[in-house]
Amino acid sequence: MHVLTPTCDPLSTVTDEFPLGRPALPLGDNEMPTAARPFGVTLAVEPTTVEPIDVNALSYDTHRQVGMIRDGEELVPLARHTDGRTSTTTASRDGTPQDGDEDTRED
Amino acid sequence: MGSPGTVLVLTQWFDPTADMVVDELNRRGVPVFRCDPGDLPQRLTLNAELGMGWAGNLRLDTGRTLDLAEVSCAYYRRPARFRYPAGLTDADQRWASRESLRGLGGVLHLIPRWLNHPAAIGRAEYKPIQLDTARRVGLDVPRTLITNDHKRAATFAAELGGRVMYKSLSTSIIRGPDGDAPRILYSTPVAAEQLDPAGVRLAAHLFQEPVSKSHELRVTYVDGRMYTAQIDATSDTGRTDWRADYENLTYSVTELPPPVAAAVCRLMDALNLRFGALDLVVTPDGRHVFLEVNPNGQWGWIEDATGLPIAAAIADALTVEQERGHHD
Repeated sequence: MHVLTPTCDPLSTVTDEFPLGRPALPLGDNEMPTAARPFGVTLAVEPTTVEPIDVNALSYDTHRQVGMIRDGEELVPLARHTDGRTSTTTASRDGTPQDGDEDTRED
Repeated sequence: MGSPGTVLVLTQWFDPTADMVVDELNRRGVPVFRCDPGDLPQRLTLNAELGMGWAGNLRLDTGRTLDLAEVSCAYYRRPARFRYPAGLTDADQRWASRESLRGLGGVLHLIPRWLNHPAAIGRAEYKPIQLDTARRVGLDVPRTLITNDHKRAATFAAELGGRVMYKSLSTSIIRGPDGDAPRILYSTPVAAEQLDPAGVRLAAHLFQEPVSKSHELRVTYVDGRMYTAQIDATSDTGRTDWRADYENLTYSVTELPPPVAAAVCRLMDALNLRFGALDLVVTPDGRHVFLEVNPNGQWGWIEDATGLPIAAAIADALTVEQERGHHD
């Protein structure tokens, strides 16, 4: 969940709409530019394990309503094929925001 | 929305964890309608009319249709953002997203049973709320400071021996300034002298007392049932934050002491959550220290590693006719 993102989660909640960050007039003229970055951001590191996934091997079974992955010549259910490490990695690459649980090896 | 029947699964199509639950529901012969609300408008159509209540349907471009009256329970997983055809301006996309949020989101909010209701997830995602609630229900919680005042942060660190743990309050995925590959923000030990005044000033930062660890626990809570995995890390990196070194973790099944389990139930009740993935530390002297609850947390890899039947428990929770009473 992300607060006040411009194009928010489709079911963004009341709490997510916590009314902070409305447009406002600046107060005074002391808003100086800064070269700093938020301290927390500077502590981020490269993920230790990135398990690439071939997105072209993925598909969706509209009848069973589950993800599938090509394994050689056959399509197999994604959930029972992977050990689950690929989801977040892929999400990180494609720009999908994650919710509050930020495990790097999700699903 | 009334008669029980179909489980509505709200998530993007690529969600192997949701797949495990859908598979289980399919095996049980439970009707399932899975859709990504973000597919509105391109692949999803909404019709809802107010009569004696909101009535209508969701229709996928595959032809699959859900009568909203048939929804018995909704499972909120990982919906994506609304997506639009090329050509819409950013401003039009933002406006359309807000309208669809209020329209689709508003109608879906009225579904009577959820795991979890998005509003409950949204509230519980606020760490100040969950930490305070955990403290009030009797869980052991580390000393915690939220501030953008580096002097206060430095004093806090000094009180704790010169080092604190920094943890993010929201997302752990950090984008670089130039569109670089994302970086990850794990729980990070920080010395007082590292605290950059200008950087701390720029945002609220959460600092916590470091907790000595024997091992950690991942507790998956489903409607009063708890599935507890012990996580042992064999590297320094993993001992600091197990998310940072999955290759050097081992998992085993364990149980919470009854008083801790009872406190977890009180926490989940207080946060109005039927599901949550909780992280706790067990100290060398056996204390169970609450770190956080992820109200929409991941659990698939825990089931894979331990065999704990979490997907089945979620399927149970999505199909019980009455709310399960929490044990005390």
